[in-house]
Amino acid sequence: MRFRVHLSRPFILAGAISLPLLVGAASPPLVDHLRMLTTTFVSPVLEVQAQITRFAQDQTRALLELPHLRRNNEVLRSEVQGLKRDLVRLEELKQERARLEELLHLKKSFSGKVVAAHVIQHDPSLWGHYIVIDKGEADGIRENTILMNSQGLVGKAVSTGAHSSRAILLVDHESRVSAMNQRTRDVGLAGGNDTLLLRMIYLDRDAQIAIGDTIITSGLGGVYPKGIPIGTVQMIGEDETELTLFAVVKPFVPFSKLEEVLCVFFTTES
Amino acid sequence: MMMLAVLIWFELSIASYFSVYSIRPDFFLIFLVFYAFRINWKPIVPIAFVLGVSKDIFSNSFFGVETASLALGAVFLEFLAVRFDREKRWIQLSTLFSFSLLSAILFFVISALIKPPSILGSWFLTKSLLSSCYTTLAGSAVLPMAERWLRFPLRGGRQYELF
Repeated sequence: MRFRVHLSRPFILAGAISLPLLVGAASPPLVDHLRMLTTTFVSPVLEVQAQITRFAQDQTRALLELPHLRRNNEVLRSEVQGLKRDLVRLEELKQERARLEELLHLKKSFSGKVVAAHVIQHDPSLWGHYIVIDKGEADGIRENTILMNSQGLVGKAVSTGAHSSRAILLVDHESRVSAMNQRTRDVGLAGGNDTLLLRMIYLDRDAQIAIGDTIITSGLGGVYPKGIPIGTVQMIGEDETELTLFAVVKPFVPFSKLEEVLCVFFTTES
Repeated sequence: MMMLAVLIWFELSIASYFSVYSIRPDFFLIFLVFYAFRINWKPIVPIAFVLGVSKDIFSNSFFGVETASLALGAVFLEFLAVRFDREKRWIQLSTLFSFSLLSAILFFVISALIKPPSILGSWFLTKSLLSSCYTTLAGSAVLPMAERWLRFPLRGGRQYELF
């Protein structure tokens, strides 16, 4: 009996390891559906949790101010504590308002439909750069809807649920965007390489690209419209084939600190 | 199961706060090492399988790769857990480091077998090493806490009389 258990264990293990891989390979739509179903199921909990976290952060910041206030004035401590707490909350509101105003300003500059969304989850995998936003098909989000913020291009939606969507960030290794040097108009392909920097490849060998140049979307490829800021050139080099140049681009968007994004639906005219 | 649910929730929502330049400790690995060394090493592969599937569902990497790398890594963990002194902290931490590094390597080997190795490069090694170090560092803080608060509830309150 013991011998049989020992004998069958490698087979059970091999089956357990290969079964998810086979499911992933045989039916990607089924996996997408499963993931979207899970996200739809979990997103209300995550949304509530995000609100609680924001509240806790406010309270923590207010509490951190306490010793400072004690030192300043023991008698007026309680009053100052209250004022400081209000100040922190106001500062938070002010910053949020500034961010939303920037988004609103950006929203006005587009002729297509625009929807603002909160980021409710970051990718738990160490190797992926995906986010989940709290807007879905009910708000008009579709696959390939572009995500931006006031600083520049964030990424695009890859799958959508009724009230939440998953989006790939520009820095993910599977993300590619046709890009252009704003100054010299040289075109290349910018993509993530799993760091917080982008790599722009297929640049013409005679391109007059320089460090500090601004990179924008070129509009080629049909997904991203022309002229969305991406980042600045930090380094230029020759690729392995010595036929083209590549550039390392620092994105304008701080991807690890994303809180709100703007979902933009570009029309052909825009 | 409750513990696993809490762990998955923790990894989904709290773990991102520990991220430094997109490198963060993997609390699943810390839990697996703790469970294998301090609770029971026998069910460690099925637990790794469940955690891997949950990671696959909530991430966007190729479905099954996280499961395969975690489950295979757990076999290695099981191998170490039965051979070494499970009480010694340095053994636990060095196992955590090697388990973390092996899981990352397995992830890339399996990814490379399935898809073209687009993300293989010098950054892969650096990131794997850095995240393994970070996981080990986090483990040095988490393991004593888990020992104190989780061991007794997870062992089901078993007590042994010596005399």
